[in-house]
Amino acid sequence: MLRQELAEAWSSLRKRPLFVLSIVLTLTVTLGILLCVVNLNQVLLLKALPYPAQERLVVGVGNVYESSEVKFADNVAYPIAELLEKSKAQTGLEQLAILNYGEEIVTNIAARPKLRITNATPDYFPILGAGFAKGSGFSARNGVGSHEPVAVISYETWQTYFGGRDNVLDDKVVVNDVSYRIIGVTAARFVEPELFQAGLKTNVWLPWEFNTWPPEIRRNWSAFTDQIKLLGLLAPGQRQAVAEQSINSLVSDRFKAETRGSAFLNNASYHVSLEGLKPYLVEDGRVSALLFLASGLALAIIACINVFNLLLSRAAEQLRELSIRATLGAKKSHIFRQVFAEHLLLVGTSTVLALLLATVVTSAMKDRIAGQLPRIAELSISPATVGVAIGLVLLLALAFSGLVTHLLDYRRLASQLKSSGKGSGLQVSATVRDTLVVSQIALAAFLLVAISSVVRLSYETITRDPGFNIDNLVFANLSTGALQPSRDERIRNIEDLTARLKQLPKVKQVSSALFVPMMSNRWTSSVKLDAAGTETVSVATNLVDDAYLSVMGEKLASGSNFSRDDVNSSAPKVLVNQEMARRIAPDGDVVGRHVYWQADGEGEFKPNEIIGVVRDVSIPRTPATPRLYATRYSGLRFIVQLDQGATLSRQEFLDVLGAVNSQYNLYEYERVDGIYHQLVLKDLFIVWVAIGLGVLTVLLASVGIYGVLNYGILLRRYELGVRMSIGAAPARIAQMVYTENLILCVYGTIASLVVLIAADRLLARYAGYELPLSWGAGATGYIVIVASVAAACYLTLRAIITRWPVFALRSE
Amino acid sequence: MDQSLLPGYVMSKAKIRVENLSKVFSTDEVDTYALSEVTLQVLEGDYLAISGPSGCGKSTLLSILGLLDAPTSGSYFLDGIDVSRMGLSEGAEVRCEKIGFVFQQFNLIDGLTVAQNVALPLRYSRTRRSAEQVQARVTDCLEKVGMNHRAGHRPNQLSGGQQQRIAIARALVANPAVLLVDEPTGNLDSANGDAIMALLDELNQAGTTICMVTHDPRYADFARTRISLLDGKIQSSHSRAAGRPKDEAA
Repeated sequence: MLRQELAEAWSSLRKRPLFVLSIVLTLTVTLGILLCVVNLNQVLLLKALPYPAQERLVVGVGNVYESSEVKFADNVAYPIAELLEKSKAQTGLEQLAILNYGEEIVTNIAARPKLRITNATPDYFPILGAGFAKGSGFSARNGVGSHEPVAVISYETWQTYFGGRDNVLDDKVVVNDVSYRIIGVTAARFVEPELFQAGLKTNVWLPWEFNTWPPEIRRNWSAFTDQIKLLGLLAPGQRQAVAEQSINSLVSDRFKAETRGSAFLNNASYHVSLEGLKPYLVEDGRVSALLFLASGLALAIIACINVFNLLLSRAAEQLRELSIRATLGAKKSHIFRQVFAEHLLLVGTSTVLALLLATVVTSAMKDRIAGQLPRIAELSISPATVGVAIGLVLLLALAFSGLVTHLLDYRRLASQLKSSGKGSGLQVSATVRDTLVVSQIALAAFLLVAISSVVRLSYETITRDPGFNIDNLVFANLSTGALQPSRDERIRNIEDLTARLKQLPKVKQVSSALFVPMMSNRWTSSVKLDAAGTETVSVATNLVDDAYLSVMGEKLASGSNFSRDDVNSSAPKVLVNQEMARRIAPDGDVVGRHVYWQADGEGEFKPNEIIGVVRDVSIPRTPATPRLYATRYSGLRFIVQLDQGATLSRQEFLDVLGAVNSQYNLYEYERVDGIYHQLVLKDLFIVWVAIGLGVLTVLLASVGIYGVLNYGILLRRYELGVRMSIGAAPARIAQMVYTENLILCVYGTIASLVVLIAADRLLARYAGYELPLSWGAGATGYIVIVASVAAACYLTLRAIITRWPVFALRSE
Repeated sequence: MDQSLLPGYVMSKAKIRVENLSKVFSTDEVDTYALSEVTLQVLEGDYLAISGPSGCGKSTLLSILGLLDAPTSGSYFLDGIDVSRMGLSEGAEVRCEKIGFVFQQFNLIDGLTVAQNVALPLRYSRTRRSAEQVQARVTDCLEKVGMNHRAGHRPNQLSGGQQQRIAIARALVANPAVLLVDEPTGNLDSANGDAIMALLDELNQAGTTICMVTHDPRYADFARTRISLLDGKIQSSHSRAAGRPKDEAA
């Protein structure tokens, strides 16, 4: 039907390669990004989970309440999980799996890798409808209380660590000196729900009973952790609220009875909410995904405005040809088809390329941002996305063609040939023209301000001084495997290993400490501020030696550090940070005071003297936290300080460790700067994405502003020629055009401010998210816009006012 | 013909004097002489008509006289000033103060009222004038062309003849040394064309120097002096005594 028009359009466009390139490039990049974020949102928010009966899948979210306020969110105590599993018939759930996450060294694999281990009850795989490439999942005899050492490994683990061997079911994994027979390999298409953290994929599933929680934690109703999860399948027809009620009737009273008298939990209650699996998984990523979508849409709109302006210029060029066609009898519909064919070719080509680009970017996203957003592993260009692409082609081609045809004013087309040919017959009103300019500027300014603010905030997070050393430090966490050395033996090992490490020329200092500062919020304990226990504070706790402050570079604000004697005698002394000191006394002067500390979560609160106050540290994405440092440490964790620029490899450390005790393993071995950078990774990701978006926005906005201003000024070329011919000096013409367009800049700025403030309010109200607006950083965006406007005016006017008026009058 | 022999001749200074004026349009392949060694002068109070077939160079000549384009060679004196090699800004100043240009397509600005269109050259002029002075001058010029009652209208609300009158008023507002008129009746019917020509005749009678391009021999006869161009050169030049052709005929 359009064949003739398409052939003519192809022939015509071939003669304008630069024009075609501008449009195709603009649309390819922006539509490609748009398709990516549409795809991301579709997978994240719309696509059903790849599990049977996915609408009945629920996660049990347990919250601890104290005085109606949430003390711990989404935490489970070990006994609660087992109680529910054993009583699942009374819960209203057809199936219930309890899961525990950990990381362990697998010692029978040559590289002794640390793998991600999930302990699960037998319902886990059936709930998810998991398929198996080999063997099967756990059976009923692998439930709570069972000690049959079997394992299921993931497809990736099978390929990576077992070479994809056919006989893998004859193989085993050895963890903590226990040999687990491999009974199954999950199917390649099995998608594990990322319950613990986005991007976290299990390597090995072991039966629940083989988790590494010690007995005292297994029976402790007040020891909460986010490493245990509850995954259930509602019975058909069962309402979520009813199941929730059944669960809480099992748990609530029992919890209160078991925690009565606990000083850690003061009159606390526990409540389990059932959340759909899909909302549970995507909640964290929802706002980010929607923000990406908004950015993608805004970019696409800017691009469409740019393209529309270019198409208008094209129409103005083709006016004579279209006038001839009209004169020869072409109706408005014929003119529309002519224009539509050309736009269809341009938009269609761009969209095909955009789909290819989206495919490449999607693949890169799967690799790069797996830990940043949930369900990334499911990303692929879906049929829905292709459908969106086809829809975009039709929508944009029709919209562009309709608008251009409307502006062409068919009634005047035929009369164009009768005039002298001077001036333009494309009657775009000043209002339309100005609206295009203002909307272009407003959108670009809005994006640039938002992006600048986000970049500034993330940059500040990345570059903020943490208040402690992160360079030239290594953190080592040893595993004793099945060995259970006594405290004295551990202390001997610590001293021996410390001495041997210090003998290495590149080692400056060694500290024995439970955590580096970024990790210390992994353990919170309770402190009472007075003997009567009227006020209890939860503190991030670290166990350290006398070398810790020096090695980590944490500074004392007042008082003194632990001495070697304090360490050796496990003296009842503590250090606190400034934040904690202010909790104790407003002026922070607390050296010499006593606090009452419950070290193990269930014992007596013992008095400890505060001997020093440590300056607060700054951990990315962590609010100010009260901290306590104690010194009765006998665990096998070390922080090694190296010479500037030196490295100590894992093997080198293992060699030294082997001389101390050959049965010890290296459970964790990381550079401290690597641990720190993991925390800022999200901000780094945001910065780079934002910078990329910002650069793209600047380019598109500049091109668009140039395009629309160029077109607007060129439309007035004849008028400017008339003004010059009656005496307007070139400088006068320039002043007039600059002033008019800078006024439009002001309107665009005001419009962008309105949109920014509205967006900020809406996001805060409906998404609980505040735009980190920085007007200082945003000023950069406005300066770029004004510079683009000035440059566009200059480049276009130069061609008119640097020549004699006759050229403008002839529209040359 | 020696003009000093004509009855009614008054010794006048030259408002326009060009000598050996040429305009060449060069491309890679060929040089086109739009004007070739043109020499002429227009005296104060004179009414010159330039005619010739299409492509003879008459519009090119008028553009150069109006400082809308620059000659390739030769000299051009306007009101005694050598404007041959002026730059764009100086040219604009001279156009503002010394030249009034009337276009075939009227070239009024639709976004401005009639009064605002007429006042434009005064806005661009270096001579400072108060708002009252501008208003008075605009009113005066509009009255001369009989269009003062339309001062508040926009050009697209007026007929072709009315627009051309406004254009003439705009050309007169800065009291120019010479009025350059390019095919003033080209876009008008004969009735309106006659009216415009009558107006120009009136202005000339009142002392305005006019240089007009026209292809219509009827309207060329309104002028006192006629030159014909062909292929960029002056083919012939005629002068007659003061008075309109029909007076002579009578």
